[in-house]
Amino acid sequence: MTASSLFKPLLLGAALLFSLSAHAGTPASPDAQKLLDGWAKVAKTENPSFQGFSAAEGKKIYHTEHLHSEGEKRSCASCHTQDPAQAGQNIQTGKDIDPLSPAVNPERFTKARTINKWFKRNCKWVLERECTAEEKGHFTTYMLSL
Amino acid sequence: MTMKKLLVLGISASLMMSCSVATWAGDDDDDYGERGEYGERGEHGERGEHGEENERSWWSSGGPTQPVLDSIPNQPVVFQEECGACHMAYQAELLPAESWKALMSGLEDHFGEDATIEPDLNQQILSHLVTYSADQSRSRISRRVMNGMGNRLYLRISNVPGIARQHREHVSSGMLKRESIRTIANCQACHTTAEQGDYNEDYVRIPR
Repeated sequence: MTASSLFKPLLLGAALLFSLSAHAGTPASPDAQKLLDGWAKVAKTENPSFQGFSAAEGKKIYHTEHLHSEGEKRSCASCHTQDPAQAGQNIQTGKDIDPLSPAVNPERFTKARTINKWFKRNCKWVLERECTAEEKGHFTTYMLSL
Repeated sequence: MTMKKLLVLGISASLMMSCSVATWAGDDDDDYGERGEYGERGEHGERGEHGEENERSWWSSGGPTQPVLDSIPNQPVVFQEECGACHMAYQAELLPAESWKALMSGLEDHFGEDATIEPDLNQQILSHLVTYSADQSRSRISRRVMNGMGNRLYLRISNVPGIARQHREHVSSGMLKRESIRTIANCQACHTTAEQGDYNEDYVRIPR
């Protein structure tokens, strides 16, 4: 065995470690990308000053509390916790919720049908209305940045 | 204790275990039924199954090894995916067909929440629920559900008279407020075998 063949795995390992430590964000799945593109188009028509989606805006949306007509403050974090990488709990039923962050739960934000379903349900639960294309785009961008 | 004594003990213990396994496997619905503690020992009560019950809880404190309700092995995948995402996927045997029809046609306001699902999935789930509903099932829990229901339509399982009565006797509102429980809809918080369809009180552990 030559010295270089001994080194190769080491080098590979080092490269892998580096890429992991430099890891920021999850690449958008094909479904998520398609949705993001669609939302961007709609956002442009609905808001002429729309500048593209931002993770910071998405983070704001995640944490913003809405005073619900039932008298309690609700936000995404009510069930998904302050840290989307943590497991949550449906505060109404007590059912455990797997982490929302695709960085720790790779199934998240991979299926258009599922993404749309949860936006519809959960926006209504928190905000008492459906989310706009712009909000969904910011939110998804934030999740994919984690 | 000598080695021989130990051996004899071991053999008799395993014999006892296999006996109670056989007893239980043979009569899953009918005989692990109504019990004296709830003061409603009914038509299935007085048959000495108390002894068997105790034996069963003695050997199987870990819970049943297989689902005790017929619907469970027949649940479509989407049933767990859709219903089970927000709450325990309550088994079909827990409500009569009429209740399931009403629930599944009113998902846009599902106890105050929008729980709408795609029409094809809705149809698939409803058909499962109706097939194994409480009025079709001979399971112990279904008999309890149907008992005293009359003509009223119930949407909440916990409001069904037979179920509500049991909980009134054993569950305080203080218990329900605990973070580990939160709501009476959270069956599996206390019924450790709820997801296997076994609501027998032998498996109730009320968390702190």
